[in-house]
Amino acid sequence: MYLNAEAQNEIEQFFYEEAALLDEHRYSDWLKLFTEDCRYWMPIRQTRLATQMEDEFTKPGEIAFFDDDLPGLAKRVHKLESPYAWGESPRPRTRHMYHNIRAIAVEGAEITVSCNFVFYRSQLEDDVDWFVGRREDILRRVDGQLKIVWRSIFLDQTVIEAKNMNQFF
Amino acid sequence: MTTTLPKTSLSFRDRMDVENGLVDRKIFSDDEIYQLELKRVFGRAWLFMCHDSQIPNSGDFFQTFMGEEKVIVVRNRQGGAEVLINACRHRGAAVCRAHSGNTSKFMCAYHGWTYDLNGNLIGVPGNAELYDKTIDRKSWGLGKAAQVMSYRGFIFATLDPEAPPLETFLGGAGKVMIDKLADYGDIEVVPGVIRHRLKANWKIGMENDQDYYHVGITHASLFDAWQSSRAEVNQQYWIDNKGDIILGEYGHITDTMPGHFHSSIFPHMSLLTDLLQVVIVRHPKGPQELEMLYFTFVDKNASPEERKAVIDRNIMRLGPSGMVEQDDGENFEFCTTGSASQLLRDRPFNYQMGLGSAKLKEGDDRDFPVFEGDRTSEVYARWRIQCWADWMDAENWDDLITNHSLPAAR
Repeated sequence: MYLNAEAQNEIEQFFYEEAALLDEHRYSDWLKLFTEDCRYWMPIRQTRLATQMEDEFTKPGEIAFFDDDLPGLAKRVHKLESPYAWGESPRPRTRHMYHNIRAIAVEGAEITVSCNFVFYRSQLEDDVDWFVGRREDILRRVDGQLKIVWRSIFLDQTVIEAKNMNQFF
Repeated sequence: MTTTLPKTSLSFRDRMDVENGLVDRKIFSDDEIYQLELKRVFGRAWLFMCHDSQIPNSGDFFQTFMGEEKVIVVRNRQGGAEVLINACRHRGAAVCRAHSGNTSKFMCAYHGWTYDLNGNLIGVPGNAELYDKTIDRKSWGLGKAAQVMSYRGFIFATLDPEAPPLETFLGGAGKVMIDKLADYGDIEVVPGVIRHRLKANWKIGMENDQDYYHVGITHASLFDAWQSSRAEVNQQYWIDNKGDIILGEYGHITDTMPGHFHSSIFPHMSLLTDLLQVVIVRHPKGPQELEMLYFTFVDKNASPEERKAVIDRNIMRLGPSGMVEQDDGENFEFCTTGSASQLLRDRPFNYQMGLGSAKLKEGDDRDFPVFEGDRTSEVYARWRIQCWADWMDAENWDDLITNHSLPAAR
């Protein structure tokens, strides 16, 4: 489905603003983009035969890399903002990029948006990680502002090669 | 089997002074030692493959490793578990390209050699036209583990035909470690096996499971998030730490720390129970790389609420995104790098915490020795390395059975 230019622009600007918050390490401000009833979810992906793709991703209620409600997400933010968050010191140089942004469903006040992401992370002297995948966000307008209700993150790697996934996607 | 190390070198037991807490740093990064480790540890020990619940039906398979070798664990038509080396006998290409699934056969996508669920060669394209029917299929089946056995649904395999039965290898202490997880009920693996690589030696990862020294420092930001004070954390891990310590023959270990009960079946399987219900396996992928697999277990008959609680606890803490383990991987990598220092190659690592503090527990009626003492101690790490040296020095299983260390006060 196609959005009109104004709606498309609003969603793109919303994501670009989000990327800036993450890359500037403003995690508490980033947390405000989520609704009270939100879910932040990254399933486990495994390499499957082409004829057996239905089990490629774990389902809600199974094991996941992330499966947080708002209080859970707040704990992660609190951890990253601690002076003892060793992974944040020295600050990793991160770059969140969102592409191929398109609406895939509209239901009442909620719109489901798919985008591809590239999340680059340079850490310490020469540690480099690339996280690439697709995000699916259910967005809702709350008091005139777009907010994230349910974020699903589908990473393309099935074996994680980064030493950790401390930051957000 | 002869050692590939120079003849002038000492035995592994002699090249470190475990009794006094001194360990040769090279064992965590040296390639020559690592190559011998693949033969003498991973080529010999019983290695955890997967759990029965992951491959319930004929043709169900799960890919894992024995040492660096890719292996397929598959349920055969007779109901048994086979462990097949994932390399075609013709040119070595993989015959299975998925982490898990179901299949009726394994076909190499290069020339089409095809194997049944027992690893027998059942199809050779062009056998009549190109080979004049000379291929003897019976001689060209897939490589297999020498032995496959299971204990309470946990499937193990060994590459050594001389290895004693699994239960002999586990001993009373090893069985207790698996029992602790199996006794949660009619357990099954929850879908979602995490696979995570680090540029770290597998032994450094293993050691961390019974290291309660690092908790308050490494995970300080976690305790900030959970609003626990440093004093509380150190009280729990450094002060209130008296209790049972289990050091099993061949290098198995349990710490009995409440809420942890971190157990390790030598060489590379850890079971975290009491709060978590997880098995972690740390496969070697080189002297300075490992791949960790995480299996979460839950009782099939648990209520939806209980099931969710188990899964949520594991997700919150474990793996590269877990709020606990996020902080661990970097340490493993830094330690591995430091172990390879050439300038410091003659300076051992310090393993001196709690020397002599573990005493034999009198009057314990278990069928293996139980010790008591400070549970935050390097007694586990010293025991693991002493046993590792036994494995590395032994010429074969008979030698290991005769000469391995027996648990004693230390």
